Amino acid sequence: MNLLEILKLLKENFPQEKFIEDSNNSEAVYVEENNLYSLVKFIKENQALCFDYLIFITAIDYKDYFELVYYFYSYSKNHRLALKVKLPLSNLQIKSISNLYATADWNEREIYDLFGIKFLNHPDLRRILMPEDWEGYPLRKNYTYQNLIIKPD
Amino acid sequence: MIKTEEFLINMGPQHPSTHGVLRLILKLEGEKVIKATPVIGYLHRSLEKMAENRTYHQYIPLTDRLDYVTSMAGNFAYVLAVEKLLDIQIPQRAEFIRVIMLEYNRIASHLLWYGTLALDLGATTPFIYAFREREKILDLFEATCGNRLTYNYYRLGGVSFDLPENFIEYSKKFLKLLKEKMPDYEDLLTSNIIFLGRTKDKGIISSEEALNYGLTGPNLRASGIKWDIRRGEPFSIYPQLDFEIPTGNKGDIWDRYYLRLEEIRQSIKIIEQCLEKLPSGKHKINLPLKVKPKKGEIYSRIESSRGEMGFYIISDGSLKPYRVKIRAPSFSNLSIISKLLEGEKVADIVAILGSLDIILPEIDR
Repeated sequence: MNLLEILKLLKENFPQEKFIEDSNNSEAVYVEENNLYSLVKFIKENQALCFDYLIFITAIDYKDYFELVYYFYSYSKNHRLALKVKLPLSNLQIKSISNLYATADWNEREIYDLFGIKFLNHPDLRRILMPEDWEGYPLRKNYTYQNLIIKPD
Repeated sequence: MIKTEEFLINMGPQHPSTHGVLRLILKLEGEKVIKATPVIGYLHRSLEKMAENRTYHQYIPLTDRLDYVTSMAGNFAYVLAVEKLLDIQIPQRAEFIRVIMLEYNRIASHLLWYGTLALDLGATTPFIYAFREREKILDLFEATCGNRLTYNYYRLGGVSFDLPENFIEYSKKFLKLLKEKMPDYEDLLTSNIIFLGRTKDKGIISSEEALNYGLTGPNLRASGIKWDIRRGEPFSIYPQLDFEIPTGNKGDIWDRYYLRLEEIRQSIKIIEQCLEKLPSGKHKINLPLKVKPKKGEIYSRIESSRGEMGFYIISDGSLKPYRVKIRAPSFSNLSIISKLLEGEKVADIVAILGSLDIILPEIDR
């Protein structure tokens, strides 16, 4: 299915959601943060969509807000979909999808580690690449080499 | 009654069988593993952050440092993504050279894996055999681009050098030799009773688990799912080439072993076809040093020797990418390890870990 057909099916099942298409990415749609979990559950279990593979999750720092990108693929139907969620700086948290896809576990830990976005209900939310006592979140745009300079006490 | 106590032991980060700097915290009860917790990040260089401070050309050498055993794949995945962003076509000859190099690198990587798996299990001879042939492939790479490990060979718009003189001749000779040596590799391990005892029905990954954990590459195919990006979502010239996708059925260590040997044979087939069809012409188109892709984003992926290697690049229309996310196959492939090791014997840890063919630099990035 192409994105239009996928969107048609999604809109029928989630009438309250707007599904704003992304002008920069032909595979992506923006969805609301509180709908994400039920949407992911739906696209995984729906027979026509059958998104059985979560390729990756990542985050992007746009300075005044954060964006989460979830990339899905279906082996049996051979189609892709990216779901995007905007997170305001005042509320950097979202429900974890790690009980739906086991891949999400480490991906979410990585985002928590490098961007400082919290995933609610995650079984083991610890830093994964950086040491546990590290301060700051390296992939944020305001994190520069100056954060690495050790200042005297 | 003998009392047993739980025992906590560290494997790695400096351990020859963890293939890099992986640390496993093992909770043992006698010989049985109750819980294995992997600790990663010892090689974290923040390659994704570094991309934000480099131009598109400047980032190519860093993609070698992801999966250094198949560094052609890192190069390929990156230049392919940027070329899609720039919307440029590259000369046919360059496409063929790229595929030849990727497949050679796949063979080299699988040979290294074959040797080290046997070494992990206590057999030294296969390692020597595998390195003998791998050496010849490295010689080919050295003749082509001057490097033996981190090649930095691909460029935006083609490859850095044309094939050297006698490349085709030498290649054909080498492929013939490799085909003759394949039965030797099999004789050493495939039906070796000790090898069978250590690999059959050990570390089984079911197809559901493989999907759930997002495994890709040989690990996924060994579990019975016939999926290869070279066929499923073809890139470059793969639609023109004729090759099979081998699959396993049980998903145990032996399946993963045999599948990789089969993949070497398929790669030989691909290279032979490419050498036959290799068109003449330019190996590169010249792009300005300051390339500025349009505002937009792309996720593009290729099949590396370990699975799906992908680059998610966001361009804001300036000289440097706004954000680069690297989807490395080993990151997902390793995440299954704590589930796989649960309930296994200590002696099998090394075999199971080795069979996943992980490489740490691309996990930590």
